[in-house]
Amino acid sequence: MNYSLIIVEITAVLIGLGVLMTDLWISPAARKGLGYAAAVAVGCLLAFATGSLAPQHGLGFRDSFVVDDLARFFKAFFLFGAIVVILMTVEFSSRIASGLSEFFALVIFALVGMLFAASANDLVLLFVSLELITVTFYILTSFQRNRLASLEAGVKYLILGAVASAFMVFGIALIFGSANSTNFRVIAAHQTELATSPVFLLGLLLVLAGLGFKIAAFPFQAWAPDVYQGSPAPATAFLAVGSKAAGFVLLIRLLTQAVPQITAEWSRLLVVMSAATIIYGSLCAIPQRNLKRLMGYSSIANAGYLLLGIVAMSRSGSTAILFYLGGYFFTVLAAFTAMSALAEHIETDEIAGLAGLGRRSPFLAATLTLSLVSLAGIPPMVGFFGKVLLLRSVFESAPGRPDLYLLLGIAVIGVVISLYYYFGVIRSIYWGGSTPNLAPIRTSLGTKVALGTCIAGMVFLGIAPNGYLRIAETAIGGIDSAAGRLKSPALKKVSAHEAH
Amino acid sequence: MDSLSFVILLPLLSALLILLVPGNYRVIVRAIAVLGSGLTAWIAASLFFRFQPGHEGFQFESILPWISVGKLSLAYHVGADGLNIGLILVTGLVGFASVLVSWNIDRNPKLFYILLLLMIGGALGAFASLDLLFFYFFNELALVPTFILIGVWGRGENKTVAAFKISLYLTLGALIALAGLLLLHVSTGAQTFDVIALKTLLAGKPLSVTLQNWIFPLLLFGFGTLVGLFPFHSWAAEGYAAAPTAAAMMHSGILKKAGLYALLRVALPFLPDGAAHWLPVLAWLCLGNLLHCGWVALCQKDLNLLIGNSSLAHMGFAFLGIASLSVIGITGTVIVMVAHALLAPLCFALSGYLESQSGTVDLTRLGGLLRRMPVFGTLMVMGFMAGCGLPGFANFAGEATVLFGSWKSLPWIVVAASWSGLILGAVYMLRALRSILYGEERKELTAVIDLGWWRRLPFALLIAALLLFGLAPSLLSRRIEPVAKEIVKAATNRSTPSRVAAVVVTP
Amino acid sequence: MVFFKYSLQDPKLHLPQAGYEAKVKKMDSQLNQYLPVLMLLLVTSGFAVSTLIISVAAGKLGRRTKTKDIPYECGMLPEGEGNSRMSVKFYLVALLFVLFDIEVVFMYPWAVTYKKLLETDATLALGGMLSFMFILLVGYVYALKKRAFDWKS
Repeated sequence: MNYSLIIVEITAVLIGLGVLMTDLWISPAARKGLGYAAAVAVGCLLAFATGSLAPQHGLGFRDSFVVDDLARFFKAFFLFGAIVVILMTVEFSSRIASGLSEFFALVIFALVGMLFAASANDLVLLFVSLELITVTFYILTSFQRNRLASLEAGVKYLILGAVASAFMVFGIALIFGSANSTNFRVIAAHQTELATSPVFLLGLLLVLAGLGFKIAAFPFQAWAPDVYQGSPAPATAFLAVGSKAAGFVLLIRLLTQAVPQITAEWSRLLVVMSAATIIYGSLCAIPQRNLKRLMGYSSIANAGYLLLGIVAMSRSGSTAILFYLGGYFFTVLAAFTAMSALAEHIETDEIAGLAGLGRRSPFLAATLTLSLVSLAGIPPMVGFFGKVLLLRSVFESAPGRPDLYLLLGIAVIGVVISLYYYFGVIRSIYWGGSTPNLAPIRTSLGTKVALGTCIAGMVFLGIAPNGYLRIAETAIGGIDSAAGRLKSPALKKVSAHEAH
Repeated sequence: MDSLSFVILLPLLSALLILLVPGNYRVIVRAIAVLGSGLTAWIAASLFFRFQPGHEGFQFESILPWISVGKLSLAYHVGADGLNIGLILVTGLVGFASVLVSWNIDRNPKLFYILLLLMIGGALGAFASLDLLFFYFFNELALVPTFILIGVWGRGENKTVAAFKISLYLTLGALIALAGLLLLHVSTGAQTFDVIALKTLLAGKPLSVTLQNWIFPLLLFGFGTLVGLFPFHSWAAEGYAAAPTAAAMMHSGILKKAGLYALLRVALPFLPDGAAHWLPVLAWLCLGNLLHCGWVALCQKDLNLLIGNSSLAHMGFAFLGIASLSVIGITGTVIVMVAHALLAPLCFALSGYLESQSGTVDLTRLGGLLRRMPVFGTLMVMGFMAGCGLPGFANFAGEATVLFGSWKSLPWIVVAASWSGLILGAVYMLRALRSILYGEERKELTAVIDLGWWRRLPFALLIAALLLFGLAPSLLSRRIEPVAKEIVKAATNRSTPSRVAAVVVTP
Repeated sequence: MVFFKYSLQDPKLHLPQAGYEAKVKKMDSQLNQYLPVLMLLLVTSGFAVSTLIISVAAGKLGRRTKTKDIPYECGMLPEGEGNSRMSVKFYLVALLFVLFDIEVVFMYPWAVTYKKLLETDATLALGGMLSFMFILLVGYVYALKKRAFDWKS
């Protein structure tokens, strides 16, 4: 068996354990340094994972672990995200009462879960990796244990997460019972027979429910606003970026790789799910007064947009998801980094508290504005092109499918509504309310560098998306060539009409 | 680098340059903005005169691959033909003028000029782009800064409402149009947004009639909303009244034309059957612009609202020309677009100066200003007379051409109603002139100061251009005509028997 | 819409092809195996409900006192604040118990199947358990250095 396949994951585990151990022998003052060291270590791992030395393609551990372009794409994505989150935590450290090193270690353990999720080719590995992510986040969300909101977030996430896990493990049991295997390849090979088994379909539905919880899709979205509002900003950022992306890589693997035929039959269900998620997220965001809560609802709406790519059930749809996630990454990290930089100067999380920010700190104001503009899908930011790609992929699959046209209409309306609530925040920043305090806000160099990187990422991907889009296309294109690497990729593209 | 790309990049680069200047160096910020936009206007003008009328195809073309992934290939593709060269010229001029009239911006001038230059660059990019996604990209880039411009530097009590209204309305319109463009893009199966590629493709293999009948209204109402097509116009006057002068100038003069431009560039030639089906509807809707908005303008007490509504009414002529689907009508539409792109900014600039001096634009509280401000008064008379359609100004040339063009192909009642729209325009324009410039001199208005030498520059620029195109409309029509012919040829090349035929016959 | 598919001829596919369909069918009928479980469920819930009913019905005949109505007649009083405070140390003990006692439960099935595992993949059989033990060891050192075993502090 080829153990080198999981070398990236093993190294990540060792880094996490190393951080935990090192903390025991260093002074509390050196903990920030430990954070930087951890970031550097993960950075080296990122360099290794994207380089040519890392395993490129392969299938191992009784076919439960796959390394292909998609897996490597997401591994790089998660590693990069973890670096930014760790650096963000260092900036945020004054607000974490105790256990800073543990925060770093937990971020890395969540990262390990995500790395495994990127390669999961088996329902058991899927479940274990998701649990590793979720359990770690139970702690991360409630890390500010002297803040009531943070504890509330942790408890809510714990209870709803446990319910979702229960659904999922029950679903996996049903699938195992009817398919006699939990492996995606086996299920894929026999999906025609399995599609007739109600037990299997029920199991699949329950697994979908569990994944729906991870990505905060309707009707499993209830936790998102509270958790986003209460959690410490770095944890929220990692939740929005990493956890959601992990949910989507698993959705892509499960729906388009393991059971594409059943997914095609269930497309009506996915359409409804996507539409409901967009509508719910958009409408509920309108009356929000708290910025982090608003971001929670916005993340629900964004999950809905991302589901458009799944609904399209095509290569371009999956590519669009990958592209959108990349843009979402920079956008959300910019927004949350700016928010955590602001938190020291503005007492409330309320949107009205941003009044006068345009004069107090033009830089932070511009960063928040740009990330909101990107979330709203306006050029030249990356959100625009991401949304165009998602809509385009649905248009491609739409001929002969009135429900998809309806979904597109809903998506367009959702974008307009989102403009309203994002622009409400921009309004507060530049001309909202009275401005009692006009003291300029200084930002540290580290924050400036991080925000500058995020803005550069947003703008660069917005105006020069070609390179990244090509990587995303390769990642999607390579899905099956690794899984069936012994033969040439057995691609079969059936048009929507025929599948119907 | 070719000069057309340069003209797009120049305002954007100036914006970037201003970003690097500290906010309290106001003189430098202003100087960069004036120089950047001035140079843009100069190059745009030189492009216009270097343009060779009568040549087939696009000039100053340049193409740069942007995305080629899988089947999708997009390129940054710019070029000029008779349809957009005039618009590029006036965008440069109005951009320069809008920077010049913003001399009294004191609050955060850095951000103001960055946003204004983004608008200018975006508008130029939209007109020059021959790739539809880039067109959308640039157009949206130009539209969105309006929100902050109105919010921070806007006028009036309900500027926030106006800012939201204008942003949401225009985004909705733009997204509907985007849906239409995407549908077009996907339906052709060629995975391209390139205008030229789509044109050759659709000439050989037109889309099915059903599909065209779906795509055309998406484009018509999507882009129509951007122009202020009745009944999707209610954002316009309110938004302009609340916007700072420069934003109102750019928006009413330039950005509105992007919608018309896209209809002419995409909707008509690519979807002949859809056009046949929907243009009669447009012919009636444009009456809404001409008569309803004209009537609303007649009732206004606020000068800005009056100008805003009159500018919507003028858009009726542009729509009328499109609906006529004749070479003369479409040539007239483009002339109206160019002329109005100069006129509306001129009016808003005048009103902005008036407000800065008298503190109000309420017509009932103004009067007798001609005595104290002779230069301003003269300019205002000239501008408003151009708005009435006085011969000698470009507007007359455009409107007359449109009416000639539409006489043959549209029901007589529509054309007759348009004439009455023209008369309405004369009434409210003259009434506004009377109550502002003539009559009793008011005591509270004795402190007004006439335009100084430098302040006259933007007004002079716009009026000179209006006069130039009014006295020599062939400067425009020679350039436009070949394109108009091409558009009409493509738009009448439909696969179903004509349904307009019944309408064409005048009873 | 299918846009990629595993190749069925792949020799790495572990499950036998023949009779798979029949197997799936049988799998559904396998649910029949759970019939006893369903019966057990019915019997137990029936028992619980019927005892309750009988005790209410029959209990009314006897004398009722306050003491008799208390659910348990020995041990702690079942009353008081729902969120009474306990020292955090108890939780610590509980966590450490989970860490070092319950986790060792994994070793039993491992030990039972160890010989069998050796036949298929010896490295995985030993290496897997060793890495598990290593992570436990790290946890132990962590708890030790954080003075989690120090009851007095």
